Amino acid sequence: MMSSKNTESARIPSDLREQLTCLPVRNMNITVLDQDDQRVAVEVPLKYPWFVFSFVKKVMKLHSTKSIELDAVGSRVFKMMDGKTTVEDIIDDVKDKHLLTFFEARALVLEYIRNLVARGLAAVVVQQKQQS
Amino acid sequence: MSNHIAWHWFECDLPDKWEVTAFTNNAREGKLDFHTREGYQGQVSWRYCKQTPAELRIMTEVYRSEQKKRYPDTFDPHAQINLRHERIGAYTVAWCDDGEVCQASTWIADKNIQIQWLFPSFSKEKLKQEWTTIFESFQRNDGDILKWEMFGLQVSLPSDFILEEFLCYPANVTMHFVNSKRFGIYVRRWGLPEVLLNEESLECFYGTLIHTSGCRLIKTEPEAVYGYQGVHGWFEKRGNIGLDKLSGRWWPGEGLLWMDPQEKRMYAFEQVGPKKHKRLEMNDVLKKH
Repeated sequence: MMSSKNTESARIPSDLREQLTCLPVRNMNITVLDQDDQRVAVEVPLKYPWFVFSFVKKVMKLHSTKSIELDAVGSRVFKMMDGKTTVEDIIDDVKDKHLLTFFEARALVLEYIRNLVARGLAAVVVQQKQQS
Repeated sequence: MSNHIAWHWFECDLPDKWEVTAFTNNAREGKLDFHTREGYQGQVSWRYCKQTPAELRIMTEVYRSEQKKRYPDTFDPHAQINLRHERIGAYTVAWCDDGEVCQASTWIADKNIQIQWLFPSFSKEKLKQEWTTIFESFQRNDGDILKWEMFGLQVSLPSDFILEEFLCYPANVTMHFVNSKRFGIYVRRWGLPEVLLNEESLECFYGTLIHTSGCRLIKTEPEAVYGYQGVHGWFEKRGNIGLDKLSGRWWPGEGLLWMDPQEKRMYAFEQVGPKKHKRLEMNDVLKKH
């Protein structure tokens, strides 16, 4: 899990407590296409390398966006990513909804967040440790 | 669900909210790690020793090595260490100061197995409220019937069955036991049944499970298990004694899958092996969850 590439906070949280206080946030550039109680579909803008010029895109009919449909748990996790809800809150929500243990829910949620980050749907803000 | 574990050599109650986060499936030497959401809570390890171990001396050396890890700059290797110790249940519990490691050790003499607990931070409250539960509830698990209880599965099997494979994924656990005749028992537990089933029937899910396990499904029938909606399935699996994985005979297999909607869990119990081998009763193997 990591936050944006160039900031000082782009590091992996070292301990469990720090990991739980991270704030997942949605990518502001994505478009939510379809949203109901169970499923969320989103559209993510695609970035091509600089040498793929616009006429190449047209000729090769390259898409400028990709659509992703999230499953029920992924949608729930995605909906809770508002920049205020911590990883721990999301884990607790999934735990209570599906009657899982804390570490079962944690493994699931972290895997979903990792996937969402890898697909460009979200980022994770690592909160600075409070200095005593 | 009670917080009870049974693994190689021992069984005990755990404090509330403690969960196993790492395990070793090795009877001779291994360990289990425990966490809560607050962090690391402790570790239990077991190992074979040829002779009766000098428990206090071992604990002193473990304490010394932990001090060296914690305080690499100020650690004095020649400092005198006087551990305080007392007997709780079957364990000798030893500690030095508050905030430093606490250890507990017991010796299963007739099996030459030492079981040792290591807790990262001692306090009298923790000893009284949490760890004493562990020490007082300790029971040996090395009889004719062995118990295997972890991640919500509760299994009792004759001691000739060994845990060949233990697959743990989030909310998806499988224990695979096998005996010397290659008769196999599979016990499975899943969470998030509505996500797994995805509006399919239990029979359909069971068919997929059997196929992905490399078996040939013969038939399935709906059947109530423990009063819950379930499926009874019959299948065949290629026998795999020695190198016969590709050309061995097909062994008959039988299994049950059911869903507990209150607990939001699905369970499965399967047994497969040579035709002549006597089948086990599910009620003898699985403790009613």
